[in-house]
Amino acid sequence: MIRWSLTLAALLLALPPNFAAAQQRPGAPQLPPRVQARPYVDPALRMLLRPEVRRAVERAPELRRGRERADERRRAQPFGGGIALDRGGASGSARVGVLVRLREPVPAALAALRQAGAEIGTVVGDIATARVPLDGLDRLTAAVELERLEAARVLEAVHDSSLAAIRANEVRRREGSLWFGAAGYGVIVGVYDTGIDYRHEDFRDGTGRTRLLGLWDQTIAGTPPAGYNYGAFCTVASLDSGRCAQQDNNGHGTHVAGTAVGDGSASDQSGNAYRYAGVAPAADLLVVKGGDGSFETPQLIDGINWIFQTAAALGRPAVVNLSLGGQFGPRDGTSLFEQALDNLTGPGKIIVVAAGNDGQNGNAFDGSGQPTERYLFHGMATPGVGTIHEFQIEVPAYGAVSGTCNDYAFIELWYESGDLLDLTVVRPDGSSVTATHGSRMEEAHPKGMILIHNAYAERVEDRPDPQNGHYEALIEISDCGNSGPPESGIWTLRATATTATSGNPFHLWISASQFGQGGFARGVTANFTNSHVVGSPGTARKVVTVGAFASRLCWPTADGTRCYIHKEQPGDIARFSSAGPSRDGRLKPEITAPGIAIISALSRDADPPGTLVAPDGVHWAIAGTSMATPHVTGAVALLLQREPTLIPDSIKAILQRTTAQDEFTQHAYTGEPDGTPNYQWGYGKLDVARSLTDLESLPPATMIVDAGPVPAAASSTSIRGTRLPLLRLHLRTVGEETVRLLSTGLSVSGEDPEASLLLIHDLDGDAVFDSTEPVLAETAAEIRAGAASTIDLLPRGLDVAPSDSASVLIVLELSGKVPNGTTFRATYEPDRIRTVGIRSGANQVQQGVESVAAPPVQTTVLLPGEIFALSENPVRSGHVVFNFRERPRIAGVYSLNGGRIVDLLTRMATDGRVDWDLTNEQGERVAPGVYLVVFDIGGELVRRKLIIVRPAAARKE
Amino acid sequence: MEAAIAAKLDPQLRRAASERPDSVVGVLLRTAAPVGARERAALEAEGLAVGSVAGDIVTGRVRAAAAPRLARLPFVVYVEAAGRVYPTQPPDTPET
Repeated sequence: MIRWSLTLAALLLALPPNFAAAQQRPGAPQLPPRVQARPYVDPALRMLLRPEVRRAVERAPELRRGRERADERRRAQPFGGGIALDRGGASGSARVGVLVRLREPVPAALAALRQAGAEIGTVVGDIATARVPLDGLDRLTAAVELERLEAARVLEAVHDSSLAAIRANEVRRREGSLWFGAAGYGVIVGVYDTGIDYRHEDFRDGTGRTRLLGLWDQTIAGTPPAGYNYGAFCTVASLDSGRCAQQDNNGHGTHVAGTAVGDGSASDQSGNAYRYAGVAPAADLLVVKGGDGSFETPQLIDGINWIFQTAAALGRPAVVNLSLGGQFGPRDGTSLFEQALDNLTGPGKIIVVAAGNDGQNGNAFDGSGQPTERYLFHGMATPGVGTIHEFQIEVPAYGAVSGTCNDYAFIELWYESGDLLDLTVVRPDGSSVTATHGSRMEEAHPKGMILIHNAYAERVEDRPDPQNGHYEALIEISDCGNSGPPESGIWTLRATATTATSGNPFHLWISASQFGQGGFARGVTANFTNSHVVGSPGTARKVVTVGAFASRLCWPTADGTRCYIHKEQPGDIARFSSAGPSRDGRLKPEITAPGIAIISALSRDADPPGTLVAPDGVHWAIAGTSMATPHVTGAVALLLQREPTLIPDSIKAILQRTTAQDEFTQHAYTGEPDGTPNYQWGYGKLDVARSLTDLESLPPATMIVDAGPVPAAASSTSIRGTRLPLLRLHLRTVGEETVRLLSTGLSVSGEDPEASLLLIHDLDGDAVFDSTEPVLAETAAEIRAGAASTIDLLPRGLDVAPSDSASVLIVLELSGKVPNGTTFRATYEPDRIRTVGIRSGANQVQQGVESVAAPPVQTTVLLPGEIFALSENPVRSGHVVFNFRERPRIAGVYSLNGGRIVDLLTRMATDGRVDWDLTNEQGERVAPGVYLVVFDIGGELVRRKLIIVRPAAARKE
Repeated sequence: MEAAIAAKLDPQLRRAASERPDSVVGVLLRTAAPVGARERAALEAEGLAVGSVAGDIVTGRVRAAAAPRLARLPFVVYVEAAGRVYPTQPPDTPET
C-alpha cells in the first residue's frame, strides 16, 4: 500500500498546476444554489475524477497486493495512509472505499448511492460506508442527496507493538517520509553509547541526508570537537559522505538510537517501511561513542556536556539517552559522577537513564514452567549494638579459570555516620578474616583471598565519605596473588555494630562477581532483597530513571516467530528490571516503558545471531532497560518539541501525572504493599499521548514580581556618565511553562531630558551591576523637572523557566549634562508589567505578596559623602569619565614619577565632569600603565591610582 | 601521604597513587568555587588534562601519582576516581 500511495502521490504531482486551484479559489463568486447543493468531495477523491488517473489505477499491479496487506493489518492507526482501493468491481475493475454523509431523507440518499453502482456497507445514522466503482464517482459527486464524500483510508500498521503500548503512534502521522504532529521536530536527541551505524537509513531523511548533527568518537584518535582534547569528531559532511570512521561494532547504540529517533525507513526494500520507526522520528541526533562495551564516567560527562553545549549553540533543547549504568558508589545521588549529571541538566536539558537489569520478577517462568531462578545481591539490615547480622552468599560450583584475579566477587557496603561496624568474612571451611571499623585486612588463602577495606583511613575524621558523611567498606573475595580460587559454597558476611545511633539500615551489594564461565555469586538469606538495585547513574537526583515491562515476549524473524524461554506475564515488569529506591529512599525508577523484544535498527558492523534479526534484515530484537529508556527519551523529545524549556522536575511531574496504571503496576516484587507509586514501577507505564495532552492542558504559568530598592552602595558611573540604580525586580515563575518578560514600567522624577533607562540582568543576584552583566533593554528617558515621566522598558529575551527566578536592575544612565546633586525618584508601576507564557501564550502576571510595589527610591549623582567617582578603573574602554562633587581647585593625571600627563580642568565640559579620551596635553595617546589622579576639593588633596589597560583607540560610543 | 590530602581522595585513587603511580586515571573533581582560567591553569599545571566543567565539578585524566597534588590545591574539595558503566542490556537473550 505504501508503494501504491506513492504512485497516487506522483500522479497527483503530475497534474496541471491549476488543477488544485481550480477546485477552491478564494474569492470565487457564489455558485448557483443547485451546484452548491452538490456534496463536498474529499480532495483525495477529486483526483480520481480525472480519467488519466483512473486509467492509471486500473493498470496498477500493486493494487491487489496493497489491499491484501491492508487486510492483514490487525490494528488501526488513527492517522491515515493511502486511499482504500480494491478490485472488487465488475470483472475485477477498481473500486474506492468511501464514507458518505447522507442528506434527509436517508432512503433517497442511499438510492442515489446505489444508482452510482456503490456497494453499501454500514449505515449509522446519516453516515454510510460504501465501495464505489471508479466510473461511478462522477455521478456521486453530482448527487444532491449526499452532503459529503470522504475517501476511506487504509490505516497503517502500528509501527511496532512497543509504540502502541506507550501510545506514541497516536500523536503523529506520516505522509511519505514526512512526519506530522508530535515527532520531535526542533529537538536534539543525544545518545551516549557504543556508537551508531550512521549510514543506516533509519537515520537519514527523505532526501538521503544524515539526520546526525555531529558525532564524537571518543575511542579513536583524530580531530576532537572544539574544546576537547581527545577522540575524533565527524562533521555532517563526513557523515553524509560515509567518510566518518566510527563504527558501532556492538550494535547497542544503534538499537537505542533507533528506538528514540529512528524513522523506520530502512525497511523500504522489504515493503514494510516505517514499521519500526522510533518515538521521535523527526528529531535530530547527536551521538557520542564512548566505548564498545563499557564507558568511563569522566568521558561520559564530557560527552553529555558536548551534546548540551552543541544544542545550546544551535538554540535547541536536548534530551540525552543513557542506556547504561553500573553497580558502584553510594547510590544516594552524592557521587561526583551523579552530581555532575545533575549540574548538566536545566531548562531544555534533560537526561534519561536506564534503571539497570539487576531486578527480579517473582512471577516469571522458564520454558519448563518452573519459576525463574532468583539472583539477589542486595542485602540490608538496621544495626543494633551487640547484634550480629549475618548475610550468606552462595558461590556456585564452577571450574576455575586459569590465571589469577579472574574468579572473584566484590561486595560494597555503606553504613551511616552514627554507626560503627566491624566486618567479618567467613569462608565455607570456617576460616575467617575480620576488619574492625577504620581498618584494612587482607589474607591470601588456598580457598580464596579475602580483602576488607572497612572505612579504612589513618585519621578517624577521614573515614567517612565527605560527600555524604557515610562509611564505605569494600570486600573482595578472589583468586588474586598467591591465593587459590574461592571455594564453592556458602560464604558468610557478619556485620557487628559497636555503635548504632543512626536508626537507618546499612546496605551491601554484591556489585560484581564471576566464577568460571558464567557463574555468579548471590545472596541466599532473607536479608537479601530485590530492592535498592537501581544502578548508577540511575540514582542521580535530576535524571529520569526508567524501568522495563514486557509489552510482548516474541518477535518476527525471517524463519518465523521467536520467543524468550523465560517469560513474564505480558504487561508485567520485565524479569530483569531493577527496582529502587535509592539508598536515601527516593523513588527510582520514576517510570517504566517496553523493554522486551524491542525491534530497532541493526548496525551493519554488529553480528547478532540470526534468530534476533527481523525479516527485513536491518532491524533486530533485544531486551533490557536499555531498550525501555529510549522510549522515554523519545517521549521527552516530544514534550520538548511543544515546550522547549521544560526542566527535569517539570518533565518528571508530567510523566508522573500521566502514567498508565493496570493490574500489574500495582504490584512490586520488592516486598512492599501493593499500590502505586512503588519501587518497581515508579509511577507506572509511559503514556505518550496522555503526557502531551497533559502538557497542553496545563494552566498558564504565573510570573510573580517583587520590586524593591537597590542598595545605595550599588551606585557607579559608566563610560557614558553616571549610572544610578533605581529599582530591583525579582521575577519568578510558578507553573510548568517558561514565562517571558515583555515589558515593565516605572515613573521617574528629577531632571535630565537626555537620560536613558537601562534594564540590566543581575546574573549573580547581588544587586550590583557590573560590566559583564547584559543590558536587556535601553530606552531614552526624557525626564523634566516638575512632572514624573512614565517609561516602559522592553527587554530582549528575558525568559524565566518553571520554578526558576531572575533578578533585574532598572538603572538610570545620566547624560552628563545635569548638575551634580540632582535628585531622582523612581516608582515601580506594577500595572505596566507585561508577560507571556511561552507555551500557552497567556498574558498573566501576579505581584509579589510581600512587596506589591517598591517604595520610591531617591538618589543623587554622587551619594552622600562621595566627592569623586570614576566610570571604570582599570580603564579598558579607551576613555574614562571623572565625576567630581564640585569643580575641583586642581585636577590632573600624573605619572608615578610626578610628571603631569593632563590637566583635567582644561577639559572639564560641565561642572564636575570630565570625559577623558586618554590623550596627554600634546594630544598623544598615553601608554598603558599605572597613573595617579590628583585633585583638590574643599581644601582636601586626594590621590587615586588609575590603571590604564588599553589606550584610546578602543573607544566605542 | 598527608592525612589532610588523603581525605580529599577517593580510596580507590589513594590505592592507585601508591600501587600504580604511572597509570593514567580518569577523575572527577569537586571545586570550592566555579573554575576560572586561573584555577584551570593550576589544575593543568599539576598534570590534569581537563575534559569539561559541569558547575563545580571538573572531569579529566591524570597520572595516578599526580592525584595527591591535585588534592593539595586549596580550591579542590574532593577527587573521585572514574567509575565504569556498561550498556544496560542483559548478557544473554535466551530464545526458542
